[in-house]
Amino acid sequence: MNKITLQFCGGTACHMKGAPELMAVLELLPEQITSQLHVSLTHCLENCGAGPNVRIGGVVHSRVTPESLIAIIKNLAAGQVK
Amino acid sequence: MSRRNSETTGIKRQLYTALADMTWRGQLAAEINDYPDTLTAELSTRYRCCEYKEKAVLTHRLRVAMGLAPEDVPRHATLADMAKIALSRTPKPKQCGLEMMAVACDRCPFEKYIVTDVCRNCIAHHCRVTCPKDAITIVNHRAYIDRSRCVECGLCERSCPFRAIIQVTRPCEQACVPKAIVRDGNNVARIDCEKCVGCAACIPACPFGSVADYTSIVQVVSALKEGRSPVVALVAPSFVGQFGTKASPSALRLALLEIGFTHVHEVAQAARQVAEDEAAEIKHRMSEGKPLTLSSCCPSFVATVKTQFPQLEECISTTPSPMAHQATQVKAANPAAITVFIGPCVAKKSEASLLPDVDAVLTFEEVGCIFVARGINIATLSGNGTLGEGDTLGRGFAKAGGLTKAVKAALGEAEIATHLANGLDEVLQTLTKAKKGELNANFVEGMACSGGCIGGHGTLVNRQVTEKLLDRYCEA
Repeated sequence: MNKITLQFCGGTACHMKGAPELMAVLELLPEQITSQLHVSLTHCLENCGAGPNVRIGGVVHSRVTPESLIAIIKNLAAGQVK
Repeated sequence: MSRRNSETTGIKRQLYTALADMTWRGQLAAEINDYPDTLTAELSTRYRCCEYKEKAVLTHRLRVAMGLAPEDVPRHATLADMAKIALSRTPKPKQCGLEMMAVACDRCPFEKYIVTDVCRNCIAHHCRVTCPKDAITIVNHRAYIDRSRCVECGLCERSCPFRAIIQVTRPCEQACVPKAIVRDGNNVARIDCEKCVGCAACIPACPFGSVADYTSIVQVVSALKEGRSPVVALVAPSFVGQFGTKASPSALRLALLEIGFTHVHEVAQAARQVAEDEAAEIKHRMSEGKPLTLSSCCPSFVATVKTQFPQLEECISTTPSPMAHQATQVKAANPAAITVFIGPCVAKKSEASLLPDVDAVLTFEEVGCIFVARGINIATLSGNGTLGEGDTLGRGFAKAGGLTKAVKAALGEAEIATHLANGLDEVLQTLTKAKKGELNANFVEGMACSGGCIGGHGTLVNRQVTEKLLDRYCEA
């Protein structure tokens, strides 16, 4: 099974807009989902005005909230199972 | 950060960033009047009854963010008027650094003691017997508290062996260890500045973000822009990791220089000297038959001693804090320099208001917003070195216990008993013991924030994260 790649933006604008809180949210997910994730941090996703940005499976998502992040991940994880 | 109240924190940072941006472009007075409209249109969510209330709250937030108290501005002043006042001021912080914005307070209406369903109209009726005001009667087979008689003493709660009466506390009051939050007749919360120790625990506690701290963002940005005098950044030891793991210490240095600071110093350098001086003072005091010395670094700890334990005030070390020490050195070398302390702490703003050598204080959060306004991404700046000069022991001041470690190292062979009071609850316990003469310690390191400065309210990341990075930096 391919892992779901999550690239969090570690740039200053995204950091100030809540990137650390987004990363902390991953700890709330169940083990069966976190085991499917490959998480990394990048310098900039070049959409600083609309942070926090996260690249999930190659697609950059902007203005990500903890709720939307969990929803996206759960969706992708459910797709993987099928 | 775990305790970040994401929505209100987000709005606050948006305001700070906008203020820094408008100030840098020289358009603050020209554009600020429209800003509440712009922001209200931009925010998709509403927190208040109507957009007019929303805008009124934003106006007050902007005033406080510009460092202005209600008494600093004339009645009916527009934001543009306030901006002109803010720009004409020196960046000096205020003595009482926090404001409870009455307009933003939701006036949490509930009563302090509540009879729950657990009350079964027991045989004993301890509550009714104990109540000194005869406020409790039995109505519909359960205890009933007559609010017109109740004085909220809490005896009923304590007397009920079945725990059927509970105490509910407003979040702001709950968070305030020195009990400095009071409410007026209309239930609006207010800060009693005589009791407040400036710890800022009330800021994240309020669900509506009603408490705000005065900032010097406008004044500092305008000094950086003018560039008439050298502006010197004095960075607290807890800076490590605050701007993300991708932001190295030397990259932070570059970023500070980029936004206009002319020099960057690590306060860790002065911290080391503070430990030496404090150690000498402890020894000297002990030789004079004064067995106890209290640390002077944490302004909220010092304020707690002064306001609640005045009999112990004499025990506070006279050694200046690392911030004060470093600022004095900078001013001695260049009296024209503008000194800006950058740290994790809101209470440092009050401390600085009394120090001639510290011109302004910014929290990491505030300086982070200035970076964003200036379009600076620290993560893309390079560098592997340190932020400035400093050593292991000085850098260790950032976390609880670091000061004691440095003092002990400075004392060398001399053995003393030390005690760490970590967080305001422990501070109160420790000082109560000391007052009774029951504390077996020659030196108390008092830290109002749990974990020390890395747990401060102006930090950007969880302190567990900072702690690991700090340990690595200290050993580097």
